[in-house]
Amino acid sequence: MADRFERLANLVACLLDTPRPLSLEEIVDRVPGYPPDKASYRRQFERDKDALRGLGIPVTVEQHQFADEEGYRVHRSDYELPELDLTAEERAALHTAVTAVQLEGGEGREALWKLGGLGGEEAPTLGAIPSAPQLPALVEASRRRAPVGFTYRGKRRTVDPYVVLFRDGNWYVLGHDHDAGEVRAYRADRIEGGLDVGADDAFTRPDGFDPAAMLHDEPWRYGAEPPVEALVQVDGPAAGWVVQRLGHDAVVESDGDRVVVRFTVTNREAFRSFVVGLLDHAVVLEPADLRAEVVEWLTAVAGGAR
Amino acid sequence: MSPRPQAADRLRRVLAIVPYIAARGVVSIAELSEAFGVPEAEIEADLDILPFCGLPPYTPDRLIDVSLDGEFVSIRFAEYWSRPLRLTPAEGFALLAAGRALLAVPGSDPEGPLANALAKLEAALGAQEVLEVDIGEPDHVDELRRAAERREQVEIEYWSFGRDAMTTRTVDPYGVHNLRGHWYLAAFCHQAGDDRLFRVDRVQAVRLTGDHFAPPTGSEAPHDVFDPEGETTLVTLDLPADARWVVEAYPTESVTERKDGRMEVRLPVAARAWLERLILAVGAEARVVDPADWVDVGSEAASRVLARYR
Repeated sequence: MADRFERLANLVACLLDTPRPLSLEEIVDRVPGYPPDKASYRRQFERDKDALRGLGIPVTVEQHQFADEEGYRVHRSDYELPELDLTAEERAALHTAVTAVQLEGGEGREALWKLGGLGGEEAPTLGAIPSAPQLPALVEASRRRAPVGFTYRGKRRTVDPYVVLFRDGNWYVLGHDHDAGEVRAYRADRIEGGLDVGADDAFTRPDGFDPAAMLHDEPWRYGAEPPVEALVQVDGPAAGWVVQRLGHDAVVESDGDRVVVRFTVTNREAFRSFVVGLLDHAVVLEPADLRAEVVEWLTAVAGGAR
Repeated sequence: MSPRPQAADRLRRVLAIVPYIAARGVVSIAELSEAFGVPEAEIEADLDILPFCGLPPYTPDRLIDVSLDGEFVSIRFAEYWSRPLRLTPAEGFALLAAGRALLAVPGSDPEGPLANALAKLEAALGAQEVLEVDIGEPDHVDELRRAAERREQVEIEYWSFGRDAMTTRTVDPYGVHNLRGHWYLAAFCHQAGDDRLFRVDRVQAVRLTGDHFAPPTGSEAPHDVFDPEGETTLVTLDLPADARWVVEAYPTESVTERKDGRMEVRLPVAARAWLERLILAVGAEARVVDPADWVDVGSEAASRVLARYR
């Protein structure tokens, strides 16, 4: 291990220090530890280069000045962490966050090494959130305004990722879907395989785009049907829970433990599922056609008994 | 030849340790051990290997110079590593996700040090408004969290969703945790005589009792979600193909797909009301196969709900 560590460390130092791209021969000549024959040292260098890139070291391939071949180097401006000017208190707050929120497979500790160490109190666990393999790359693409291509439920999608968001226990990428021609949300953990990331600065997020509004969207809002205002009467123990979920603004009428709440529905099927899930604590009051749909659905289920 | 990740892992740490020392001039081994969360022996091993690294022609003035003076260490001739490596996408994501999640906890200071740190980080990464976290904000989270901190016993009105029943329980709140986007209260329930986990969004009311309780002895407060409803019944359902979401949403014992696309699904059910909901959502195509006395659960529930529409 010492040999490989030394070779990798010397390679990073050499590529950072050089003022011009170095050819493979120049590198092997400068950095000890490579095998003598060309095929072997080329293979070894390729593996080392992958290991460095795996750590996030930006090894670039550029035209060599003299030799008619490619050269390698690491630009310090791309390598170095920009100065963040974090106060000790702010750094401690990030440490608290990384210890209080257990992100599945998260590399928060390693990130803090770079920001000045772990210091600060370990916080008791306040939460655990899952992750998905493509999330860092999705955030990176969103930051760079680069479109992403991926397979989702067996179908190829190309999306301009406006935002990555966590809601109701799942991570979503939200953005303009090129083929659908509209904003869609995709579950990050259901992306199959890797991402194809397109060119930087290929899109701008529309001015009116409000991720917070989509963040609070309920299942009955996921859909492109013409919006319908529905009034639902909810009573008993379900009433308080529904008000918490919809927000106090949705309450039209309140009388003891009986409330009438307003839903804006763009997905009638999801609305129906939610309302029947409240069992005999909820009745759709308006509009008449939506009420009739729910009655018809229930009548079909009730008929199964006979 | 297989890759040896240990060398790359060590390099990752060393590329952070060197700038840490460089920024401070002289640092104790104990401080490094704490700042990097690894034993002192590991730090010493990292430092032992460094004097063999440097730039060609690897003469003493080109090799990294590590001086150890008792407990204290300083480094020379590593100017090219005077700044840490930029954050990788995975590292940046981890900080932003954890930070945004903690900031979303009810009661967090939206203008405090964490908010400032995240703003600086997002500005440096050019990552403003690309990552958002919503972990829910049920009415009683903050109140229950404070009661747990004070170790004050509380009385809660709790809607048992599975049984569709309202109960009043006296509980010793150990703490409030967010798991996969939902808030849970871990507490000793005096009615159950045992530790329970409650969904905070189903807590309808909280009354402080003014009584305090002793911290739980021995084991830590419960961390796993365990079913507050008690015993379960194993139910076999015959479901249409478009009810695949059931399999994705709930833990199942077994799923058998048939040639006609329908599925036979066996899953544990805590209470009759829970199964009623499931069948009403799937619709007339859902059938209970077993146990026999639950075959009519769906149709009976549908008739009961329909009575409200007459």
